[in-house]
Amino acid sequence: MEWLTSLGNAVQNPATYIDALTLGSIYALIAVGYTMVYGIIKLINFAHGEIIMLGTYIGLLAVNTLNVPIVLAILIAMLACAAIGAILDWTAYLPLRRSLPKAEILSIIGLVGGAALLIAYFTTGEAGDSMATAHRLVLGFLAVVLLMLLVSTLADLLGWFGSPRNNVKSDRLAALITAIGMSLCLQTMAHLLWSAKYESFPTAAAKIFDSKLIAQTTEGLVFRWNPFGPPLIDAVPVLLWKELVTWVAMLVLMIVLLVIVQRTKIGKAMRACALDQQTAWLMGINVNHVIAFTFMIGSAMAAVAGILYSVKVGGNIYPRMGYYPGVIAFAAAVLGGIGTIKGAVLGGLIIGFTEAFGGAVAQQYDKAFAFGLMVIFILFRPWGILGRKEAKRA
Amino acid sequence: MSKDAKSEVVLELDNVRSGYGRMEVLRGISLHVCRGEVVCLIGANGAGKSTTLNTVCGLVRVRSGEVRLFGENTADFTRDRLVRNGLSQVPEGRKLFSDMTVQENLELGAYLRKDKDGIARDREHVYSLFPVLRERSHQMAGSLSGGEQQMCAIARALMSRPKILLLDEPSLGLAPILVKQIFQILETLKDEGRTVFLVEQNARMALSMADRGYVLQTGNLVREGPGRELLEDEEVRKAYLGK
Ligand SMILES: Nc1ncnc2c1ncn2[C@@H]1O[C@H](COP(=O)(O)OP(=O)(O)OP(=O)(O)O)[C@@H](O)[C@H]1O
Ligand SMILES: [Mg+2]
Repeated sequence: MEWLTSLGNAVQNPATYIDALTLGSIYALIAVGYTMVYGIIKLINFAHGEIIMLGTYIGLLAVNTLNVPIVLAILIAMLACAAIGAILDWTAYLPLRRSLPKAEILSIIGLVGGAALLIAYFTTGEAGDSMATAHRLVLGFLAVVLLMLLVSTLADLLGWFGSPRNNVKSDRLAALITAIGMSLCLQTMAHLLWSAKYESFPTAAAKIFDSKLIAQTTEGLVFRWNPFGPPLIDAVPVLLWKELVTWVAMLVLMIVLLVIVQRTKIGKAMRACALDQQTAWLMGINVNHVIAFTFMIGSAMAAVAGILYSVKVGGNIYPRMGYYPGVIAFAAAVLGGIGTIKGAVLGGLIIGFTEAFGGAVAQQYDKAFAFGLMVIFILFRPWGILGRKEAKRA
Repeated sequence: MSKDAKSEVVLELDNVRSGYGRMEVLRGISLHVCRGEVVCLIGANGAGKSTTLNTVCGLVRVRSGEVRLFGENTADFTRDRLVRNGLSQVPEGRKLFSDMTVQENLELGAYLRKDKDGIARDREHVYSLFPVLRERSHQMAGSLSGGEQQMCAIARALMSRPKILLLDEPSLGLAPILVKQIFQILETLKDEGRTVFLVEQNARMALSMADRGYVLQTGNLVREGPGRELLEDEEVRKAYLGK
């Protein structure tokens, strides 16, 4: 009953709750991106994790080269990621929504795959260790391209391309595979640009975040409202500034998001597109613009999450960093009910708590608890906590 | 008002062919709607009536021939540009945004407009046409009855202040008393001088109110003429009026 004791300790320790809330806030910020894109085009955007990664690198670049404070770096990364999100949609997913004939889809796949192969081949020539990784990525990419060819051919055989404007089914499958391809593609790009070494925000820049807001000293609890004050040498941190900042960032961004979706014109257009795209077109809504906007918002949130995540964990900036938080936030989106924003927030928080308390019981299995929860939900309530049961699932 | 040579042609289809996949549904149809006219298109199930409307609004691609809106070929229009240029459609089966309120549906109808005052005035106007919608304005559109939904769909289409209104079977699936009510509304729209292109299975009611009518049979137009004339036509009576 050792685990029961550790759980008991975790339950009595405020640090566990603080950790859970911080993780949960970060997952919520990421999950919102998955859920909004899914809500509007029914696509699980596997490249979302890579947006997290790019946002973090951009924040790091801003801090290192422009010497801006982290808060400003977060804003820069948000803007940059919004642009990247829109570009991702325009280049990778929009062509598929335009329902091109098979030949064109195939040629685009071939082109992207071929270009990635060439770049990877010529730029990883002499590197020693990183070559193995690059080769694995290239092989993975090849496999994806092959798979896409297979699926396209299969889709053609089954006649899914028969009616150009109504091939929803093949569109969704093709988009899904494209998303996986884009994820690998962006990872490879980051790998080539920044190589596979671990980086972190310089301590000077992260100072505000790492300083203690509430600490335990021999005299009791100490509040430190000035993060720039002299360090509290012997104090045990109870609450760090970065934790408070993460909570506040999540709360503020979610409120802004809900106001956008509920009250503004573009938000109403987003909901309309999520409900019925063809009718949205009839209203004069340019659905493609609305979808691009959705990608932009989700990607901006991912940038915030990425930077806060790497500040929280410390020293984890590398090309594949988006994978874990991405996959876990995806689990959170499914748990909360994919397609609903409130569900994503709720799911993110639940997963955060699961991971924090699970980790307190069995450190090495902290992520397994999150996935276990997702599996349980997929088995028994696939539409999630706040999602609605669909009449028929395609 | 009907075939006045001077009146402006709003919508024109010139030998249009279109269809789905390998199937051709419209086999070269030509028709036109002038300003202030109510024109109806009747035909049996599967004749291609909805396909005609969907081709006009860009949902189905034109394969040959031209669709012209105010004389402009719409082939290169994005679909939102059609709405911008004055086209508005009440789709078959109403297609309301069911998880949004009646008021939000109306707001989406006015999506491309920026004139707040004008929008508010038009909302008052559609509420006066459909008083029940005012009562239900904060209710989810999906929770309305069939008749109310149809009214909401028409109201939504009017909110864009269209220069031509396309309606696809507004009486579909409604009880006779509601069908009568919907046609009364269409009469009102006609009296307001609106340009309407109406697709209907209820041939008798459609033809008796329309200025002109076209008869579509498996992708070909087989008759055209003033509504009253078609109503008297022997073959039309046999095929579509059940006598
Ligand atoms: N999305 C589609 N994909 C493939 N075929 C279609 C599609 N929509 C309609 N069709 C076919 O096109 C033909 C014409 O259909 P359309 O909907 O235009 O008929 P309609 O005259 O509106 O009939 P109804 O009175 O039943 O509404 C039918 O044979 C139908 O099966
Ligand atoms: Mg029809």
